[in-house]
Amino acid sequence: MERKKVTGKRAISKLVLYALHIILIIVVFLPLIFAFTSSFRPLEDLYRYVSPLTWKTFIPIKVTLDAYVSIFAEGYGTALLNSLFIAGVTVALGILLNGMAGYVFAKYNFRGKNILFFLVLLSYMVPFELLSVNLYDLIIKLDWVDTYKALIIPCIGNGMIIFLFRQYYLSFPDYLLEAARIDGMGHFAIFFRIVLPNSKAISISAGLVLFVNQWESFLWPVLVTRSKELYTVQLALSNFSTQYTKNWDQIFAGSIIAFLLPVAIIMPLQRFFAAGLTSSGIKE
Amino acid sequence: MRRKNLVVTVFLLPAMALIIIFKIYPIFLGVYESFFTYSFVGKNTVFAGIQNYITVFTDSTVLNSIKVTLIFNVIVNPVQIFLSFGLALLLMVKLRGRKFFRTIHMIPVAVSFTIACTLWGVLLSPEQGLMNSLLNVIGIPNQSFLNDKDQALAWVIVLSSWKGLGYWALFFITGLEEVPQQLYEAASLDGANYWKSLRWITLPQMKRTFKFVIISDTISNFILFVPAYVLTGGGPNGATDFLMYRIYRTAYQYSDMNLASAMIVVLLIMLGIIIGAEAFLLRDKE
Repeated sequence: MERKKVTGKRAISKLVLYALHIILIIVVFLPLIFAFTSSFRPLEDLYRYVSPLTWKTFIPIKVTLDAYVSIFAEGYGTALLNSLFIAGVTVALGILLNGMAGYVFAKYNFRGKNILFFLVLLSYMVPFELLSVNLYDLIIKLDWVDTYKALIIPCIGNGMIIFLFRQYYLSFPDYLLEAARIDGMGHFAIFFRIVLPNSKAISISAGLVLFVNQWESFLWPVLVTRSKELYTVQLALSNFSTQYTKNWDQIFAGSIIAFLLPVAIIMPLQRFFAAGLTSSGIKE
Repeated sequence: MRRKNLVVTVFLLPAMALIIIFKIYPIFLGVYESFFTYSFVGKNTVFAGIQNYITVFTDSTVLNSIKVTLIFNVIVNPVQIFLSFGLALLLMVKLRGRKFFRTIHMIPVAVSFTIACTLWGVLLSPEQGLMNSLLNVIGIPNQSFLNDKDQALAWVIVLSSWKGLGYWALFFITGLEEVPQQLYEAASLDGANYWKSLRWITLPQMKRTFKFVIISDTISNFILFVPAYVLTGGGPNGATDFLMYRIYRTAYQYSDMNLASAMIVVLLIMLGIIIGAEAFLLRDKE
């Protein structure tokens, strides 16, 4: 009797938990699913079926790729390539340069180390958005406005990523470095042939964080780009919504692409992504 | 020895140069510029003392955006923390399909703020948006949402919470997984139920995670810019005129870099005080 009661209670709480899960998933995914299915329907259908609410609001009757064709005709492809290029270069150089700095901070002692590391932490603590207005001033003086340089170079050096690498290298086994040194390897060879090949996981984590930062960056491209040829994905997307407020199908198609591309990159590597985001701050 | 110095220099120089030029220098440039002003008479920049700061604290538009930013933060931070911690707890419960649910909730992490805003802009369309259709079903008449000055900020809070949910939950999940299992086992032997364990084991053990998430969340909400830029233009009637957006407009549309710099310094100091208070309240008491 007693036992039955307990299992009954458990079944109910299980039911409640599943119900909670389903409600949450609906709330979280409704906008995304609506955007996804709507991106494949003709614009007239989109307007016709959005209200009153029926199953036709979500399930397209006629399927078309018009929205996708039209956004690419309006330069969305260029914006995608721009974002991929900017993010790609930032990731490659960001991993290498910040990784080297993090390694030195972890494994070498030298004069001025504390001051330099304080600067790293300071740059990590002041949000990029806040310094970007004055950084824009500098970009004007350098005559970099409306160039890839402006979109890439200021975003490579990253205090958070240096910190991430430093944390990792602090626990990198010294005996491996010592053994290599005894074998007659130089400092550079040790880094590039021993340390770097053993930093795959941390490099993927750092790379994903850098990629997402650049992919989602908004204020900075708004400040330093002028011509449409340099638009990033997010800029092109926001342009759909301010310029053609009525072209919902374009907004949806653009959002879906801008969203699914990082999903395709992050999901197979989600473990590393979560580790990259979380291990930088919580530990210290 | 010299070889060692060479290594340190070569490895450190590129990243440090980039950080000093593009991250540290602008901070000091901002502080410096905030004490100057452009003189249209002499067509040059002249020292202005604390004039820009006086403007920040007397100009009604700037004061409004400080107020909007503070109100927004007071509401959105607890909402986001509460919801994402709740989601993390839910995703920790041992349930068939837990892995599936976790993966599912990772997906929206890839939604950028720009995407969130453009999508919600359409959902909240006043004439015939999906949200109005949903409200009609439960008998609520059409609303004008972001065009209504009493509702606009609330909807920005809703869409920001929607956007941040999975992201912040990620940090909580990582923290929850690091709580030693023996603590729960010992507590359940002592007869503690789920809520008691949550109160006396999970929360104290999660203090550091909470501290990190609360501070990071505060920072990101203090510098929020995209909703005002993409959706509302700061309106209606200044209801969503976040300080960061006001700074952007001051610098970019009104070309007053000096006043914008003073606003940045004020925002930075406000942020510093609030984060300091949060860190103090959540300090490790040994």
